[in-house]
Amino acid sequence: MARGKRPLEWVMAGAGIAIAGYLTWRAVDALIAAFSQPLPHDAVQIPFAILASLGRLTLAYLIALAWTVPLSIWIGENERVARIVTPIAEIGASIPATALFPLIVLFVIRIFGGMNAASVLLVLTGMQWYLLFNLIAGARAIPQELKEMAHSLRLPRWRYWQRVVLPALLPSLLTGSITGWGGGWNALIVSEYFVYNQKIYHVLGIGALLDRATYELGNGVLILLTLGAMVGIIILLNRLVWRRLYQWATRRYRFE
Amino acid sequence: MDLMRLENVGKRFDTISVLDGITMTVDEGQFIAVVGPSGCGKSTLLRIIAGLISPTTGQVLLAGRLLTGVNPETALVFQSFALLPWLTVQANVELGLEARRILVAERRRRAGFYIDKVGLEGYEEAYPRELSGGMRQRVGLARALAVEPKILLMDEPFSALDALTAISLRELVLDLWADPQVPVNACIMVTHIIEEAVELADRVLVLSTHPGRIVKEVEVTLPRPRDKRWPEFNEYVDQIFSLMA
Amino acid sequence: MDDKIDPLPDAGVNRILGLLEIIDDRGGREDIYRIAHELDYEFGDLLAVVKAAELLGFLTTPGGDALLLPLGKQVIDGDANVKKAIFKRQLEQVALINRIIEFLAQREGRSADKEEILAELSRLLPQEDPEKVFTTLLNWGRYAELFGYDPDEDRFYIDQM
Repeated sequence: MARGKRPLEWVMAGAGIAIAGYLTWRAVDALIAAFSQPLPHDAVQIPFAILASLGRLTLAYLIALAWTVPLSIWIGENERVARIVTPIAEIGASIPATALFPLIVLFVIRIFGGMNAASVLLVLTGMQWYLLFNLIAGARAIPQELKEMAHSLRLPRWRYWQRVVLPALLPSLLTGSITGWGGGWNALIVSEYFVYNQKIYHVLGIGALLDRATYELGNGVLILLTLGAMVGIIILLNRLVWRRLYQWATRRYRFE
Repeated sequence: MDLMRLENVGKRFDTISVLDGITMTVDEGQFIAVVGPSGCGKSTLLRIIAGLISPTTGQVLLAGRLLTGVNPETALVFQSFALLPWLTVQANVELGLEARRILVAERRRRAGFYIDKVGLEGYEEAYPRELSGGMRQRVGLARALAVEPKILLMDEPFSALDALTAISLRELVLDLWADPQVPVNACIMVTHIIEEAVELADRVLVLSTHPGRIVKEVEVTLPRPRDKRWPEFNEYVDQIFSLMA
Repeated sequence: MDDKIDPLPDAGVNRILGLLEIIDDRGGREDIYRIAHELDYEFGDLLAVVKAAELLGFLTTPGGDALLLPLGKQVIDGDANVKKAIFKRQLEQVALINRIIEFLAQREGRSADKEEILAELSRLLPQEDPEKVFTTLLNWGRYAELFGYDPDEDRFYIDQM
């Protein structure tokens, strides 16, 4: 039956189109109704919330870089370390970041007294493993002959990192960053807003705003606006920053 | 006069003995080829000479002194070239000079001199990905020569190249070897191609496998340039072949 | 004079030098098929190298043989600079390369970007893959120090040095 469809399929397809059309019409109708009212006053927070969240993500990213880059270089140079660290990292990565959150919040709020620190820490747990695994893979993929070449030319260690290791790691650093930021956004939504013992802890941020719109205010328009803003900023970052960097890095810093 | 001496050198990886009882000298002015079947440890031997791998037993003497760490009198040419894709030809060749804290102007001059010697003038600003395999290996040669090693080490330098390119690069290596402006005193080349060893070398070390031992040293006394159609050439090839078999 | 423009055979400098070397080893003349057989070389690839060497005036091909010409002998006997000088002189006789030199010479800075060269190559040789021709043009041009190409600046230029 390569060509032509049976009548039943036609009926199903027709029904599908009808349902989709009806739903679209209802959604558009609801949107028009919702947006014809004045915007919820929390909507003005959106730009500031985005900036605050970006700040948290950036901070978490920098912390993740600060430990994953040196560790993966070390692992790349030392097979024995690789055998010890890799399984530990695998266990760490397999624990869902969100599951740790209650613990992190309780500890960090007690110790550092700040929901901000807790939030950054949770974003970090959602971000760092992607970076680590990609970087380890990148470091171990550096051809043996390149290491021997650097060694036999007696490149000093820091020159070796500068000329060989860091450029070789760039493509995997960017792959890790792209997936890591994805994980980071994911963790962000639950990291900025936390209910414990009937008390709400939250910070200014797009994730918190979304949670508040959902759980406290039940405001559909605010939900849509925050979601839209978040999706918009994620797409923008991917298009303008990560994709370009990635293309540049794979063009220039790739082994053949 | 010997530049280097290996005394009873052996190498084990875990329980596997790769090299055993290797005693050899590297004499001034000699081109040495190391041949043997794959897995005979010839590349390991080259890395021991380069000081990249330390022997399990025996000792390596450099001008009479025990070698520890990287051998400062050697430079390596690799089978798959080992160039940095993100550096230009010029920067790749300068890499070893940069490590020696040679001033920029002198670095430029010296790299330029060897780029010229290997016939790569005009390619300075190119990246390795733009070059054919043969041109990449010329970069590898220039980079090794630029640090002006007394002993040039080559690990299967032509085996990643197509047959015609390999011919032109062997010719280049012979030209460089004969060039009085290139201060290399000795050359050690690892290869699995017997004809290549007989064409280039003054002395061929034939290695056995499991573990790698020197079966015999064959002195090749033919004048250069050597012609594969000479009967004596083929006698050498046959002799080495039967030692390996 | 508007001579016919032939495409450049897809053969690098090292291969051309290798071929001249092997013919010289065989006393200056050898059957092309035999070379392919002995080197275990793809015959089509070898033919491209033979055509390239012939185009540059290093050999002729009477009756299926490759016959080394005196110029070809000079190439293999010369040092790096002699080789390059001969390549340069011969390349300047090749119609396509002449057109590219003319094209560059009338431009500001005697240079163009890669896209412009590719467009010019497609115009001159509509049947050919311009990327391939560009690769050979660049390979030969750089070796002969006739053309240069700066990939960072994307600038293809006439080598003045």
